[in-house]
Amino acid sequence: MYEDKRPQDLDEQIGNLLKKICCKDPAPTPLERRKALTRLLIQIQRLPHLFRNSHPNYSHALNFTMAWVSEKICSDFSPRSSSVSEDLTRWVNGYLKWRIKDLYVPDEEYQGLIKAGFKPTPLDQPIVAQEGSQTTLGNITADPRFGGMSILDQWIEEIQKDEQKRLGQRIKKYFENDPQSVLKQCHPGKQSDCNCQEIVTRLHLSDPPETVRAIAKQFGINEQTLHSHWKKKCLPLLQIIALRFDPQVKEYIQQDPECILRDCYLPESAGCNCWELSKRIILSESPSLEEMRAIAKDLNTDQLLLDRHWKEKCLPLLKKHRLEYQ
Amino acid sequence: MNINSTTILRLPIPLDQAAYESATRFAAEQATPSKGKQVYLNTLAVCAVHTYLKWLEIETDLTQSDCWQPGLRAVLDIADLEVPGVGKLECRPMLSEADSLAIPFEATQDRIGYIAVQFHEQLGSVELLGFVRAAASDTSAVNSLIIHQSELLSLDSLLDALHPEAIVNLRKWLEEVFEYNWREPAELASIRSSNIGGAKAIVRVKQIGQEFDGQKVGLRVHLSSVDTENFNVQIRLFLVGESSASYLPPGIQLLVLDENNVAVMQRQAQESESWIEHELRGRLGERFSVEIQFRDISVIESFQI
Repeated sequence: MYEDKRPQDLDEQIGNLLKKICCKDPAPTPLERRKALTRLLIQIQRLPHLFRNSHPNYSHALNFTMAWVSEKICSDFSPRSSSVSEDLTRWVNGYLKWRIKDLYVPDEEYQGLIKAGFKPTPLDQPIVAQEGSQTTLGNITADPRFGGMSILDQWIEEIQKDEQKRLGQRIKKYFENDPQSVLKQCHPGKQSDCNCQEIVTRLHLSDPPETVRAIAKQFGINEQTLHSHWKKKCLPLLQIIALRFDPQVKEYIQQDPECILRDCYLPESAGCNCWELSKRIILSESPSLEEMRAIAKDLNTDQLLLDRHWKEKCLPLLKKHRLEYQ
Repeated sequence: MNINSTTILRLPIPLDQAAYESATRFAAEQATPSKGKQVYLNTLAVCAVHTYLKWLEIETDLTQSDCWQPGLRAVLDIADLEVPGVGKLECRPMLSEADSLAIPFEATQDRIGYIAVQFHEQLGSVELLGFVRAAASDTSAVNSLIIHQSELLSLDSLLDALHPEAIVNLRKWLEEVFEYNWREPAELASIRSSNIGGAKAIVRVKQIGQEFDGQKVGLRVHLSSVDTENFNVQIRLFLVGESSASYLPPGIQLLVLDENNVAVMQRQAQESESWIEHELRGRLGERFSVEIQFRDISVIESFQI
């Protein structure tokens, strides 16, 4: 991923990369191909005559184009002229042009921008971007995608106002109050003051966060002891509490529509399934690490096996159904 | 061996609308503006790496990322991306004015490594800046980890980390575990005999699939331990016996590259040489590659001690 020491002709550089990516005999290993493709994607985005456009969603169009290039470069691109870089520019622009056109298909969001004073630039006109240049779109919208990093804080404050009873606030309050004293009761040995509530609030909810070192010093406890208490006790508790705050997860457990949770059980023990475990751990009155021991006892199963089943099978299943970003 | 910011090539990642929509939704849930900003940038950083890996057809699973769980991202400062079968990558936003990454200790737990994602004033595009592999000790680290920009390695080393199968693991050789195409010298027809001895040396050879000027060549690795931590490695490029010629194609080169793919040793075959070689010393865990170069053909083999 370095600039070549010998300044090489752009055509030669691109030609060599194409050879590495698309060669059939011998075909590159997946690793070699990906390394070369990464370099090609860098080169393409630097092509001097690549279409650029000031539409606020230009990056969306370019993103699509790069995905298309990665997929089609070997099957659909064949250099015709003496300059492979010019051929490549033409080929990429041919697709990018349509993705930019898509951005101008009137939709509600776009109409809103036009009303607010946004002026689209003519198509098919390469705008050579300069390093560090700032596109001024005025105050058409407060979105930091157009207004930049400097308005980010203010904008986030605004969007947060719109969320009633924000999840972050509810969780923060839960940890600060620890209404069922679940966190307070979880501490290393006799050090009751250095409990999970204290640790989680100081490490994760104060701004700026305190360090493990500072907390350990204050409570006169060994740093590694504190760290392993956090990792072995507080973090699993936190993961359970976090899931209890997720309405999607709770609904999924209640319904288990395709019996996926019910069908995932310990070998030879159908009673020990993820549905039973999830109900008792996530839907119960109060979150507790002791619950696992109680369940193991009730179901007459080894607790270690049960713990592992929960971590390796049930938790991934619960997470799996969340909406995925494509 | 590290690089500085002037020589590193950054990969720009134009973000799609879905990335901004997720980041906006997640930021809006947070208790305070500063937590909202952290979540906004973490989410975009994760989406940037996700996008890059999608381009390269490397599967990721966002549903298994802790930062995709509303309850966990509300409490922890995390930007993890699950690569099924390999592990978790931590994708950290790096603001334009910063020259280092501070990784909170909760984001160092069970990670393969850390990717620096550079943000600028304009948020339309970010850049993947580089990668650092996680050290085994990070998981027990009690304080945040500081990674200076000069410690960042290129994206090649990220790809190496995501392809553990592609690296010849020399340490395993000591346990007599060899990659299938690295054979005993005797198995490769009439290899020219070597005069390198050494009681505890391990010698293995591999025939290279690519032909150079119509000639078949092979690599021979001779591994011997200096002590428990340090090893001597001799790498030889030789002509495979069945070749019609007696000598390597003149001009063929054997290079040793460091983890950043910078050539640190270079040798070119002269007229009538049947082999050329390099000798290097490395520590346990160190990585290097060997490149065979001839005209516009190049073949690379990567190793870890």
